[in-house]
Amino acid sequence: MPQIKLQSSDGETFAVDVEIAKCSVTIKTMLEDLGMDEEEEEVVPLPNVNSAILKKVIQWATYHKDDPPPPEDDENKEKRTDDISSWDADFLKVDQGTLFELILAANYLDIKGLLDVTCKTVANMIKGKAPEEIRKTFNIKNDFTASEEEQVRKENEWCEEK
Amino acid sequence: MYKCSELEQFADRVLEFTTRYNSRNQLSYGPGNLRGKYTKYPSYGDFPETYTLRCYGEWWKFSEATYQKPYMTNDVDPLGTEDFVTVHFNQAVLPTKIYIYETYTLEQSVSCFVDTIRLELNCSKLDHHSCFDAVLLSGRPAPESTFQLKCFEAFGLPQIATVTTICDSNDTYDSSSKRSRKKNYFKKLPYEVIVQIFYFLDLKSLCRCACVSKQWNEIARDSLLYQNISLKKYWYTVDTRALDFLQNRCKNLKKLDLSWCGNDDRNFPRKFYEFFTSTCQNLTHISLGNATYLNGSHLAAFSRCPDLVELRLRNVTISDLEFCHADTLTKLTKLVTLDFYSTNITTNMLLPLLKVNPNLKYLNLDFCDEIENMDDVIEVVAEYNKQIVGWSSWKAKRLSSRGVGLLGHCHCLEDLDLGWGLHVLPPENAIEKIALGCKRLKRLILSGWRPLVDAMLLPLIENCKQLEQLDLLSIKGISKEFVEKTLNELPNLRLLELSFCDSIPVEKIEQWRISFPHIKIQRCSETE
Repeated sequence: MPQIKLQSSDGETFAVDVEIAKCSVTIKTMLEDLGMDEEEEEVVPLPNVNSAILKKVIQWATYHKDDPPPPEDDENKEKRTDDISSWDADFLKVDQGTLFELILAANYLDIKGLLDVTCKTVANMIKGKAPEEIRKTFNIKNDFTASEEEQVRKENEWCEEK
Repeated sequence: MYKCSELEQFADRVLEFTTRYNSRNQLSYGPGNLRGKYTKYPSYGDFPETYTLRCYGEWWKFSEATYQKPYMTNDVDPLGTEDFVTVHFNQAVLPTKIYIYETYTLEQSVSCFVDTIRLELNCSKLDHHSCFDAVLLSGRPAPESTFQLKCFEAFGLPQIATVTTICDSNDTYDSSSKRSRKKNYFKKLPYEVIVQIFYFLDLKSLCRCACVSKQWNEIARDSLLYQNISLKKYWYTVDTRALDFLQNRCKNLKKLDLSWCGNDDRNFPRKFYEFFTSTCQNLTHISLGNATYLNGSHLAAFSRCPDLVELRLRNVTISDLEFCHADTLTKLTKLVTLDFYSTNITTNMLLPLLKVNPNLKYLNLDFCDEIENMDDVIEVVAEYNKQIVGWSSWKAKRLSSRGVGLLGHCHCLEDLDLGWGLHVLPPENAIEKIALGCKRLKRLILSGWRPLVDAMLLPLIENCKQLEQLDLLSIKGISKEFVEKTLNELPNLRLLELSFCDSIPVEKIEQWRISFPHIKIQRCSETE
């Protein structure tokens, strides 16, 4: 199987099967646009992804290489978050920094499946939490003034149980 | 002195319900049977003195004319509630127990006096109908004197476990503390990626996100997150404030499910009108089950949604409908699904609407008592709605063999529910016409068609080889030879309803269940 070399932002190169690399729409489009010659040993630079993250992305893409292509139609996209496979759940047992780096990489490389599963993971970290718990979980500063906070609270309180 | 002795009482009124088996004016199997002490329990069987639900199991989900696919999967009730019935009790109590047939113990303490209970029902896991006989509420009565009530307000209710959320005030965000040196990784994410994350949240979570910070507040308002809204799960909390909240966010609203909501709020009808007219331009789906407040002006507002493909108004009595012009809804010409289950829709208003909707696929007219003659409707459907796939007219007031025969012109029909429909006239060759015209039929409900006999039904077995569900409940004129032929010659059959088919001996049913294990053969009767 033809291979391609991917180079991370910190200079490390990874040899990957072209078919696996193509699960990134960004790489796929680039290869098609450039009309890559299979004989040549091209190196594709990925200046926005470091080696640790690129390694994870390749690991994910290798495991999911035989997945059916994700549906195009966004409107009927399944919005459940309880359908993360156990492999993916284990794969995403990482610190928050890595998880968010993976989201950025999936977004940049346009890997829909990885973007969905990482976003779902973060959504699950948000679900069921009160605003203050969310702030703590993600280290977010409450930048509302007291009166602003009161107003937002009032506006959003309708869906809290009475 | 406040007495702590328990009071047991049965429901004295039924306030609201979403499903039933029988027509509004009939007592048998009706929700009214939940009132008072049980009459049949602990006997087992099907009794007209109970409240019987129409659907059970997953079978009916096949019928898109009846079953609504969720508009917003994030906000699907995790318990799978599909229906409810609300009962009232004479005296408010602090509930300790609720009995529904069997003892049903509340797991959570309820810390207020209760005189009304809504039972939320999910029958999709059952393989038979459910019949409820009575509801008993047991608990400590509210004190009669206002002084004692005031005491409770001041000191709390007696012996009730209260849940306290402990907020640690020392643990708030502080930029100098060690903990906060951890990063806010959200800052690195572009706006559209955060929207992607929020896209997987339910409404309640979105409300909470909006309270987190200014950035989150802005993103949680993005109208991309409010394209499909289902408030049914939040029915107990939805009021005009909720609509205020949504109104600014729903610029791209496509699907709106407000079923069960708004009935306790006097200002809701006016606010809903305002909300609707300001957000409805791009609507494709509306579902308003049990919206008791609907009136003619709301109906007129619906006609301003040129792209509407699905309109579901279940269990709704539209007030001042008689003053509405027959053409009120005829600007809607892209409809695929029209669900008027148990509404007061009239023939006058329905026929012009059907005539301008050539793409209509699913039509539900169950319990539509104002439709005097279903034949008139079928006549129009057979001519103008050639694409019709699902038809449901359970308990049609008047349906003759002529009307039924005309359904044979609807060659796309896959799902046909004519339960308890044929009155007065003999069926003649109506079934044969359906069998010859509707060869794609997968589901056919003929409950209560008492005059039917083998010869009238045979064309079905010979022509409708796709049949998966066949309901012959209460047809007493069929023979065991006919049933055997049905079981043998319909390769896709999965459900055969033979309850109250008294001509078929129970022993035969048992034998068939063994010989045809892949087919669910239903049989129940009062005597079992």
